Amino acid sequence: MKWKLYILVMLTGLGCREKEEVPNTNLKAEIVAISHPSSVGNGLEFQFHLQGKGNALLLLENSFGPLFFQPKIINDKAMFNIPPEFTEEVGEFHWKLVSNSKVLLSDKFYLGPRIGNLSKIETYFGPRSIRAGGQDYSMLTVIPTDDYDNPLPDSTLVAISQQINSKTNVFEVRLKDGLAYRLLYGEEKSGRMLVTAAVNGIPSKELTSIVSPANSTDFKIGFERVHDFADGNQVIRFMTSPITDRFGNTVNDGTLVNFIVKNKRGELLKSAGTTLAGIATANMLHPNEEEEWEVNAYITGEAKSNGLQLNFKSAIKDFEVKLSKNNRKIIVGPILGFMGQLVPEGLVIELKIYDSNGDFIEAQQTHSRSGMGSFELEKGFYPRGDYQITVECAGVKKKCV
Amino acid sequence: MKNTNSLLVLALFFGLTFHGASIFFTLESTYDALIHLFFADHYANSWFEPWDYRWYTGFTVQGYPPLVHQSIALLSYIGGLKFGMFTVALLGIVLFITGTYRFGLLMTGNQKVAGYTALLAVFSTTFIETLHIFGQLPSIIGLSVLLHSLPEIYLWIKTGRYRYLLTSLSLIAVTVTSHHVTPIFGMVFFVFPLIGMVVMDVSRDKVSTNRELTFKVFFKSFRQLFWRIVGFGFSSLVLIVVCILPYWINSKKNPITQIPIPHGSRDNFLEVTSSGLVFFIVPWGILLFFLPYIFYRFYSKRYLFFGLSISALTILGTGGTTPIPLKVLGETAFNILTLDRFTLWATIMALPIFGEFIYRLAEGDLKQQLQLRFGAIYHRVLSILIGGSILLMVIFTMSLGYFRPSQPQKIKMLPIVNFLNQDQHDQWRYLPLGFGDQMAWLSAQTNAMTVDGNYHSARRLPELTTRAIERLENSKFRGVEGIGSLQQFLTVPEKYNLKYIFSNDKFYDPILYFCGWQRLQHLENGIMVWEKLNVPPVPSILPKEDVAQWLKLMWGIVPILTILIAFVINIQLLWIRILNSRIIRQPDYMKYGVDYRKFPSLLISINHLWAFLILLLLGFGIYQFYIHNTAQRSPQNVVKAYYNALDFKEFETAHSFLDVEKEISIAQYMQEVSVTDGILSSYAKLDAMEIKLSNETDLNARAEVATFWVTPLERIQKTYNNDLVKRQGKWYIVPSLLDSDIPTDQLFTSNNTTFYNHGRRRITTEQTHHEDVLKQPVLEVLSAKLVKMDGSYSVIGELQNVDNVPADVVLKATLYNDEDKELASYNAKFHMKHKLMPMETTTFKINFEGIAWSQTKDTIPPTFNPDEFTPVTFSEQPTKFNLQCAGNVANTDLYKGLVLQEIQLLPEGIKGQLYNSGIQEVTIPLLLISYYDADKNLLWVDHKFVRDGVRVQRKQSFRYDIKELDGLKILNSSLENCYVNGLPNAEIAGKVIGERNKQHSYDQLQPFKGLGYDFIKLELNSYIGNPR
Repeated sequence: MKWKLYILVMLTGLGCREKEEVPNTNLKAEIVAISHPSSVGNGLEFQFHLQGKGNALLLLENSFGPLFFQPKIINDKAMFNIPPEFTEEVGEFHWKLVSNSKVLLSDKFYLGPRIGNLSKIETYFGPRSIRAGGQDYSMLTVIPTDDYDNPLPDSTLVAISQQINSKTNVFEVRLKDGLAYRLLYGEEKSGRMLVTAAVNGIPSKELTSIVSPANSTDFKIGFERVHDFADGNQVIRFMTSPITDRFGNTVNDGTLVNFIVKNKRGELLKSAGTTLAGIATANMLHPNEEEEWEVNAYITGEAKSNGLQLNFKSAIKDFEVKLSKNNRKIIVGPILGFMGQLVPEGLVIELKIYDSNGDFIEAQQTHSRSGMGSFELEKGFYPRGDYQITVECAGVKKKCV
Repeated sequence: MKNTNSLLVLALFFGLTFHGASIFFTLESTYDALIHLFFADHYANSWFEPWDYRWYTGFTVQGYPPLVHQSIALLSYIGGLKFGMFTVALLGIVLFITGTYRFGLLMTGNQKVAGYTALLAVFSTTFIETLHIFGQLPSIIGLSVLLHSLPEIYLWIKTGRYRYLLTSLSLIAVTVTSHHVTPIFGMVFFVFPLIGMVVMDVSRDKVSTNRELTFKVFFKSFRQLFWRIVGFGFSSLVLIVVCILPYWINSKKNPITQIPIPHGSRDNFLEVTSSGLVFFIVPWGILLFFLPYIFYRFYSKRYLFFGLSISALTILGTGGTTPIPLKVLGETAFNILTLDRFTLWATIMALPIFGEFIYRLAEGDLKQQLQLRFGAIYHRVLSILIGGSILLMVIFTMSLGYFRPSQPQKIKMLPIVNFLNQDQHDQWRYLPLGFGDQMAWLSAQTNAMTVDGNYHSARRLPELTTRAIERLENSKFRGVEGIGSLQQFLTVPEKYNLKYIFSNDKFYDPILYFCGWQRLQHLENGIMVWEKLNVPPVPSILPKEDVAQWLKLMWGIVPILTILIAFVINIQLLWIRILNSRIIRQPDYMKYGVDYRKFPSLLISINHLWAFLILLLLGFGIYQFYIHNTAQRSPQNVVKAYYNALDFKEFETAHSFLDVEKEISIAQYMQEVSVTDGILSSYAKLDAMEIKLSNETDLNARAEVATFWVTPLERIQKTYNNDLVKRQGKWYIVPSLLDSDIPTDQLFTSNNTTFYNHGRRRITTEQTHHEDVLKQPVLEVLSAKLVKMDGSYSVIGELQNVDNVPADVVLKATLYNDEDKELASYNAKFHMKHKLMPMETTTFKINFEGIAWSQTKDTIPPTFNPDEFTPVTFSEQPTKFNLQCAGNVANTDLYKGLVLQEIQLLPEGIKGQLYNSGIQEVTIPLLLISYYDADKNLLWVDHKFVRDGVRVQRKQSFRYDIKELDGLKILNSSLENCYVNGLPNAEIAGKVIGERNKQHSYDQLQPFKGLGYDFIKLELNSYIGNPR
């Protein structure tokens, strides 16, 4: 029982505390005058008539944070001069006249942006390139602000101008939540879209979005060659017709076109070119031997060319194979070309050596020099005996024993 | 001690002029000096903060005793870092010479001999090598101070005066804070024998003749001195622990759990003769000839313990030549320690005895003996020979760094430093390649960070620690591990915020290109800057391993304090000694000098014999060298010499091995060589060669030469067939004819679209001016699948640039299991074209590379293959993947001139010819071969680097061995989790090319039936070594 008492006393003791010091103020205040500008950037003036004893402070709260101001007291008047530096932010201002933590008076007012003092218009425009066809768009976002960087009120009129294909479109957009935006569509023609925005006659800078051509469409290919002989030396050039999209815009420079050549054995050869003013060119060498080529060009996934048939005739007709006196050197040539000329340098000549039973021993390769080629059979490797040899050049085969 | 020793003055004079003048030409190109400079720079900038972000994504400098670095840092406040380094080096020289003098005095008790010792120390090859080739400043300072402490230790134990304990301990403290290994092993190899010698001397005092000095007497003296020894031993142990306590704590916390880095000093010197030269012949130098005398003297009673010590040091210094060092030290210590230090200590220990020998030869009993036995002339000739040999060895050692430079040419760092400071380039990490140890000097000059570093004990990234590479920078010298590590960094640079590479070695260029890097600019010092797009900058808050405040304070204060205390104690005592006109008692050790009266004549004979043996061995070595390297003695030799000459680009030498009767002029040969380019001729290092001879007769032979080349991309094997002939007793190679193909025209024209991207249109320091940011090119993933082939997983697929601008493409795939747990993530390496023109497609393959050998621990394959691939070991089965594609506008490396001119489909593979239709020389052509099933769905992607380049308007043949795909399993084929520039691929696919014609892709496939596939496709990618 005693314990319980103790505990009770303890708890009571704990529960007790010193009497709160209630602000002992008997100050009474009356508003004398409050200046009420409607926009930011002006100083504020508060005048109160005070009665009684005690300090009075003005608490001003806005988005900048709470601020306390000391009064200037003249007789029974308290004057608060708030310099313009503290009223640069747009928004609601709450003021309280406080004395010893006791609020005497309070009110609020709203300061708007300085519409007459627009300094800059922030603009964002993107993407910076779109595709032609009228489906793709860039978006212009406009954030006009006053000289204290406050956003302008909703419904402020923003004029957006778009210059595209030598004509200017003007759109009017109203500000909402501080910003205005508009989707600006490209047209069928490729080119460039220039945009700008203006608020109350204050202009923004110029912004650009490039309207690039849409997907390419099927095209034609042609070729250029010096002659139709398969000499393995001349260059054949394939080129496309100017490639356009479905609106007639020339495709972007650098678009890759694959040229696929199918030869008579069904093997696919490949060259590639990039477009320049819509035309892609690709080079290949003439084949080494008689050929039939079927050429197709692709912009993979988008466009294809017509098929092109090409024939190459054999560049050489015949050549001689001679043996030197000691039969150690095989001389091939002169190899003559289609005009009876010596074939160009570098034609591959292949020699295959078989023993007398027709078993393959070795293959050697050389390249024509001045229309000739030669092979040497070293004593160390080919002892005396009979050998069969075949020489092949540009698809023409010769046999010797 | 009133008479100043003129020999010491002479030694100091010579030492300072010789070493002091030459360090300005050698020190900066040594292995270590610049590393110490970097550490010094760290202390100069943040004395008390041990963490440095600049290397290895952050490391602590508490991994190396700081005294030398801090001294350089202090001096750098006066005249810059290099001033500090040279000043410390000069101090080191002075300390070393005086240290050997005092050591000599202690050992022999003879001022003359000590003077000779100091003089010989100046010209000792081991010191020259350590200073001028290795640049081991802390080691030199540590050792020199240890030598200074030896007399003090002797006197403490001998006399028991606390003054000497104080001086010796103060010097030990300096040694500890300058180099940690020196005092630990110094205790074992220098101080223990010294203690033995003191005990011996004390015992000697008790008896009248040496003969009476028995073990019993010795043991009694030992018991008498026991507490002094223990006192000294214990207090120096405390010093070793306390002075660099943060170092020990750090070692405990971050134990060296790294794959050991191969070091020449662990080689078998008989097998790797170059290591034998550098780590045995050169440091021992002329001393090799006097080993019998040195060991004879060291095994006299007084020096007995030194004898044991020097024998141990000598044997440990032989590295892997004998199995003893490995057994004595154990696997771990053997692989962490560099064994050259044992040889260093052995040779330094031998100096006093060598000094004694020279003294006896120059003016002592040996001179008399020799004159008596062989005459005065012989003595004079011998002296001249020895003197000449010493000089020869000095010159030879000094020239090592000149003829076999260990470092690339000195690089002007200013342009690089400026580059890093410009335009916020230091917001990313950089990586120097081919800089040698100069990378440390670059790091010291910039705040920018690198993933690499030059103090391998501090390596932190597992990519580095699991491989035996010192630095990424010189990874080509580390073969497979080196290039493998480098490739990991280059393939996934985002992981390390690595954006810039400074390349001083074009060897690395191909791998950079094929990993998707692009050339940015040539700096005015000739360094090529490579950059990688799509790499985020280094975050502003980086992880750091912090240590306690008191450790930082200790690390910053104690070392410098030790030097101050040592200075005050020792120098002050010296001054008191000098200024006090009172005659000072000679130190105790001066009593035990031997008076050199009778040089044992048997020893003269033995040493002569030994010197003769050494000469014989030397001669034999030279003869062997001649036999193996005389190019035209045998068919093997000429082939070996020819390909070695080609490897080293010594074309004139190579030409001299060509058959004279074929009459190819050197001009013609050089002309032919100058036009060949490609991975083999420009980026390869010959690694091995197997020569098979057939059809061998007296005059002819045919050689099948299988050559193995290391290239930055992969290890290449190429077999050459050469015919050999013997003409007038010399073997020659029959030259093979060059392709005589000539293009049709002299002048070619080419029209192409080129692109330029302003870095900044407006010159501003704003980080990203939004108007200057280009839209990321739109890519479309056409197909993507997760496949399993031969046990490893890959993500393969096809991708197209569907935008109107060229794109640089970065692909990253992540694997997940059924529970969406992330298993691995990697980027596409060279199985794709990284630069795509508008509408260009590329197939790709992403392999998931693990960190090599982290599982198999030490079983590093002995062969050498940079393409060596370690698949990630998955604990769980990956079933899903995520593919992130990022496009950025590309404007370089857009060459599309390569043409597939001819192919032949053979059962075993594809033969064909490439034709270069453009006007840039293609240095390395890459073939991407993709395989498709009967429904033309992608199955597999493979690659082939064509060995030779394709010259402008010319052809090049290639061969590709076809793959068999029977082991292939497709695990997941879906475009669901593919993202392009962060947006879902499906959205993009419909938007840009709404009605894709799939037939186009199908039409471009080559029907080719093989095991597991029905179609293939060949794509070409070309690396241009020298873009014009």
